[in-house]
Amino acid sequence: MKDKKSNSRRKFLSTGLKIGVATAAGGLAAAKILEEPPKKSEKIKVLTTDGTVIEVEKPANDCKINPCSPAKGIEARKGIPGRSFVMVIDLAKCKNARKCVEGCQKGHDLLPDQELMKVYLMKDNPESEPYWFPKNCFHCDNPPCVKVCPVGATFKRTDNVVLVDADRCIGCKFCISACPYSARILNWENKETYASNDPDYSPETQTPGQHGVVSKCDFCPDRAREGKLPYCASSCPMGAIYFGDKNEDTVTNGEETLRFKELIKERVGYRYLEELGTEPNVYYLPPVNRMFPYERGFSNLSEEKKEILLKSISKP
Amino acid sequence: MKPKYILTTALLFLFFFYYLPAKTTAAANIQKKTKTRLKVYYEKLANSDKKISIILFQGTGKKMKGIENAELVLTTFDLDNERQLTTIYTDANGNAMLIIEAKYLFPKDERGYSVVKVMYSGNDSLKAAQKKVKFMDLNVDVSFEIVDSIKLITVSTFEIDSIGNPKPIEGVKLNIGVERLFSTLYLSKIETNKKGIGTMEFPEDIAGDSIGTINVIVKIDDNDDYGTITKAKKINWGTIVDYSNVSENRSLFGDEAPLWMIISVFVVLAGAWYHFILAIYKVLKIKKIEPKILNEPL
Amino acid sequence: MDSHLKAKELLEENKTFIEKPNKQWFLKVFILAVLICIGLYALVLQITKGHLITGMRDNVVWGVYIVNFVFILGLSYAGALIAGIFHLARVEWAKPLQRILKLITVFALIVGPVYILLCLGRPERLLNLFLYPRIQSPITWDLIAIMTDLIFCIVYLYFTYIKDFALLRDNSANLNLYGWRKKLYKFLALGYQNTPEQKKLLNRALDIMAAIIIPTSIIAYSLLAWLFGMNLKVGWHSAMTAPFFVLSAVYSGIALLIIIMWIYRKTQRLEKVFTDNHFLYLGFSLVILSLFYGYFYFSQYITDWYNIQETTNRLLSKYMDFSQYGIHFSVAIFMVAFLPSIIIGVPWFRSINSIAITSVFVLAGLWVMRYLMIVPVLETPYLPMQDFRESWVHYSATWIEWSLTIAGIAICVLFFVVASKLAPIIPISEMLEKKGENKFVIFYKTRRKLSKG
Repeated sequence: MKDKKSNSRRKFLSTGLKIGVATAAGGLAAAKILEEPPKKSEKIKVLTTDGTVIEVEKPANDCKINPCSPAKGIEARKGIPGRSFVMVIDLAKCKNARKCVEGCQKGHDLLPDQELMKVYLMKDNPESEPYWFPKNCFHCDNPPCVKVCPVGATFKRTDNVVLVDADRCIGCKFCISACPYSARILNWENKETYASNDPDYSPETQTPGQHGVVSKCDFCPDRAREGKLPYCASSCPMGAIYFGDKNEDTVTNGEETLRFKELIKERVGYRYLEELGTEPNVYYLPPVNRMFPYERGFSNLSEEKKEILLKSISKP
Repeated sequence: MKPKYILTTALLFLFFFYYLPAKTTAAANIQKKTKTRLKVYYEKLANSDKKISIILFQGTGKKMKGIENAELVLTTFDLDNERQLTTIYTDANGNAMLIIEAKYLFPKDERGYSVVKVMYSGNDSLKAAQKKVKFMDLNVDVSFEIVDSIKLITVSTFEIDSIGNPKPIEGVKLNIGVERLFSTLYLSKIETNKKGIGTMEFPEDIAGDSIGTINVIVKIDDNDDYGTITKAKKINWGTIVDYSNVSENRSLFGDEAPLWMIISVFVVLAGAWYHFILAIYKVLKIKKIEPKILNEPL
Repeated sequence: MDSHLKAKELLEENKTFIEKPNKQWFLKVFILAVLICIGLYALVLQITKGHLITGMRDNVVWGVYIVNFVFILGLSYAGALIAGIFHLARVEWAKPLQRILKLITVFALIVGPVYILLCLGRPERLLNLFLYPRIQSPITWDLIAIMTDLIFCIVYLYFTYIKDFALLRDNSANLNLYGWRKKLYKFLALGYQNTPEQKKLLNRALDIMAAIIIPTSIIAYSLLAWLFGMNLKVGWHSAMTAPFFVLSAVYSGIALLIIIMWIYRKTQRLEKVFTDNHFLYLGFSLVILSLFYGYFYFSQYITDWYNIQETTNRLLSKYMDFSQYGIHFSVAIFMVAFLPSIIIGVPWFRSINSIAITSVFVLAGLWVMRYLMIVPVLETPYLPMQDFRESWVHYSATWIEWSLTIAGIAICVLFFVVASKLAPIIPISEMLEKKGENKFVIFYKTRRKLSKG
């Protein structure tokens, strides 16, 4: 403990000189933290007209959809009324920072090697330059996974979301093999925090997870209820992931809010493997006018892993 | 040559005996107490309440860390007299906020500014910090009208002077947008004219809800004088989105199987089981007609 | 009277096999039990430690278990199909094979579905299949089909035993049996006395069962094929899947039949029952089926290959690449599609033993072909495989899966060992019925009408 403390102090000293430069950046970060609302049960003080101070329960102004708590049981199968969630990923902005992967893992209590959001390296043809391709579940309108489920443990909701009810899943893995986008994973390892039939379990949060059942990206409807973007979208440092409601014709990456139809029209958005007829709800903006060269994405990968990636995109 | 050496030696001497000890003592001080910082934002909410949001933190950039459960003292200035408003505590992230009801009258200085000062007194390991925020109270009014079938949003900005009369404010930059689930979709940026009025033509193709209602948001963003002001007003100018009809072109993913599938499964199974039961019936009859007197032994 | 004497004679000839077991028999059972116990130990490990100790991962979610499931159920449906057709067509020479075929059917149908349970992440939730059934899912189709087929086949097997149980009951005095077995025969024979009425009833029941078993097994195996065909996957998503599955099932069934015949002929000296002709007839059907198999395989892959798509190209190049599945593929396709034509087709190589050994190769080759149909396809998703963990990219079965595979085979063999001790492995009574004695139930009224007209 002691060593750790003195170590951090030394680090602090070494960075001390840079403080002046970093203050500007600090301002930005401070604004980011401010966005995080305080805990729900907290009270806030109100200065009334006559100058006295009273304490009131914090108004649920961070709750955009009623009910605010994640739906459970049969309610979870219905979907948030009037919503039609959609995601747009701007491939020009992705540099394989993998913050979306990490944010998602943290939010869904996943094991370090479980990825509901994956970042692929893609190359469309031998002449074109490779690009990074973040991929989660596409929440298809014609989902091959839902069709094959024998017990209805995975289902399509009216708000476009495809979820898994871990309390019902028998782990037959048919949906994993039916998904053409490799979007689903199984909880192969038994984790300590896993619990079956936990009363707090909601398919919208997928926590606590369970052993031996299928798991997948859930579009974070629990966060949408609070007006918050999914973990991946909110943790992307480049703002490459836009999320929103198609019925509202709006997508946002947290900084910039755009009209969905205009964006897809103007930037020629496409859906991956459109020809499969699955009708995904995740759109991609082509990687043109890139913000970074794709090589930048290798910076957090070892030479060996880089080789694996480059080999996998070369034609057989 | 010689004077140069002497000068250099003298400078080095000075450096070692002056600068270095000074630096080490400074470092020792920092070691004792960490510097803290405050950020204070003033915001006028949609219901005209005022909000002071504060963040108390240490470190910068990636090392930035909010300070938890710290007491903050908020004061205001009535002319030169400092008057305490209240004390509030930060949460786990170092955030704190105070809501001030719309009709609460802040004392103003001669130029019309109100001031809120936030003080953190520090503790054994953290330094004290304080920060002031200055603001003027600006009112924003939003109205809708249709002129020659063009939908117009009119925004007027004004201050209330000491007698209670509105005084139009010119040159205020406003963002006009509509409220969305995750954020506000901004449509246009306008500036108020001499009369304190700005107008915007509302586009025809903005999606509303099932009856076309939209919530128009007018926002002044971090203005030097007026802080952040938000105003919201609802109108049914949006396009009607019908989301009762969720398309299920191939309903195999639905909860119910298509009729043809149920019928064919039923027919096939019924056919098979009918014959199966027929066969069982015949075999069971063997036992029934077992002759009492033995037939030729098998 | 004549047939009655013959039956006694046949029973007398084969009585050592059904009489009280000797040490050798117990040794066989013991060895099989040891193999099964190793499998059970692996099963306990798998349940307690989770599926991570198998070779299955997120891409290859179905491994050797599903290969076994498909393969063993294929044998089962083939047994039912062939037995049903032979019975309805009144194929005289095939009568001694009936019992083996039906035993294959039932035992495989009991053991096969166990593998799908092994594959489930949460087998204890199996009841959910009935609590929340979805008709749209191929698994539900399969569940209904397997359960129906299992009930039908067990009952059908029992029906075909009735006459022999009656025979054993009436002759038990001459046999060295435990007392409980005599009682059992009496109970199971259902008071069958071979009166004309009883005979007519039983034969009608058998005809009906044979007639419904044929479509049931074809439908059931097609549904099983659609377990794969309904996936949006290159290599599976093909209209060819179901017919190809049925064909490979019949092919593997014939091969297994030859092997079992050969084993009984060698170990129990049943040369008179399983004659050279049986081997020749079945050997030639093996040749024909191997050519059909080659034809199906070729037409499936030539269409895939001719106008090749990206993912298909990646898949097919794995079969051709000797660093991946090239060796498995070329050896297996040689054994399955060419070997029977060479060994059985060329008179110089043809013999009882060579036919049997070819069958062994064919059976092994078919298992490998099933493996190659399942595992490489799962290893070839549309997206590139960019996992850094080797075991996630390439499937290789662990000892857990292999020992459970061996245990499954051991259970099937054990069933055979026990069943052939309980009653003769050849349907004695059926074999002795005269040609044309039993008219086909469906033709009764038609014949009458035709003769009237």
